[in-house]
Amino acid sequence: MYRKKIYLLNILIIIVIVANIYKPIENYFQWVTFPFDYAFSYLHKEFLAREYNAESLKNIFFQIRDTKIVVKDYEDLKISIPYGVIIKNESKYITAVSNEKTKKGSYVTDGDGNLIGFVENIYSERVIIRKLGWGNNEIFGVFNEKDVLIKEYEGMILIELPDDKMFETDKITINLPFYIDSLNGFNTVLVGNLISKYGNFYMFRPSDIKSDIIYFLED
Amino acid sequence: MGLLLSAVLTVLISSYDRWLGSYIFFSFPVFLAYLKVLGTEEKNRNILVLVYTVFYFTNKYDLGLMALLFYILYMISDFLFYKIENNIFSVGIYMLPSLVLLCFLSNSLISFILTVALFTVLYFINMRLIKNER
Repeated sequence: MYRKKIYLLNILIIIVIVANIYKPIENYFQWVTFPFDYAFSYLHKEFLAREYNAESLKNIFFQIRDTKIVVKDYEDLKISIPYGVIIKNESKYITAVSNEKTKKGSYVTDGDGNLIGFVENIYSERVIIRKLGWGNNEIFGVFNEKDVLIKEYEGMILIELPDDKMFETDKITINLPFYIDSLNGFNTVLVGNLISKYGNFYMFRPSDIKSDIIYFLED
Repeated sequence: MGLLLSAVLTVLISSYDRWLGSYIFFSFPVFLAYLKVLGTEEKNRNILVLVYTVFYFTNKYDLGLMALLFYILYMISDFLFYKIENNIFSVGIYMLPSLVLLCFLSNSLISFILTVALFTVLYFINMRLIKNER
């Protein structure tokens, strides 16, 4: 009687196992929902824009009250870098609105140069960013003038640190010289805490995103 | 052909729930209630729920334990409540587990209330009339 249900449950279990062994297979499912996603992401943006406008107005008032206005020398900013604003920050994905059309797979950094993630999907000006840790990339960074390996694994960021170094503080910063350092002269960095040890690797949690403005860097 | 059309509708519903579900209302539990009231075949029902589960959970979260739990909850509620005669309570209980799991995962109480309200309105305006053909 309910044998057919168990049969379909088996199919679902097989799909789940295959998708967990080979993660990029999930990207193929996105092609099916693309036209609907295009329409509904526009509505989502319109829906969140009201809330965001109210919040950003509060932030601007808050900043004006705190900071003094100082006249500075004119600094040459590179306008050609496409930038965007975060409208929704979820556990795995970030939804943002960009000013120009960006490319798939480009790096996303903070205003201070913190690496946030990679561009996963683009619907016109709406951009979906996969957070660091949910992909399959392996990156090299520099910490204390030594190369370290940064690895993404199912939502965790694993770092292979040299054993002979002892750390007094949990908070560490890793330079990523492999990437473009053209954002106002800063290097791209990773700032965060070490949580625990996982085999040969250390588990790493990046610090929270403070500003809402993000930049898209292409290689 | 009918199955194909309703599969496309299911993909549309999963995309809607991904973007707007946690802000306004989840449309999948209402869809489940329609499936019960219209008396869809068991095979077609299971395939539609499978399609929804795969597309919703891959795009919004991660295809893993929660997707399996969602499908198993549907199976249990289908096994227990599908054969009971249609009235507002039986149809409501039939759709309730999936609604509770969806709202729990996205932390949205407001969409729970709105979905229940929408279901109640739709049951008396639309679903009962389909069943009684008045």
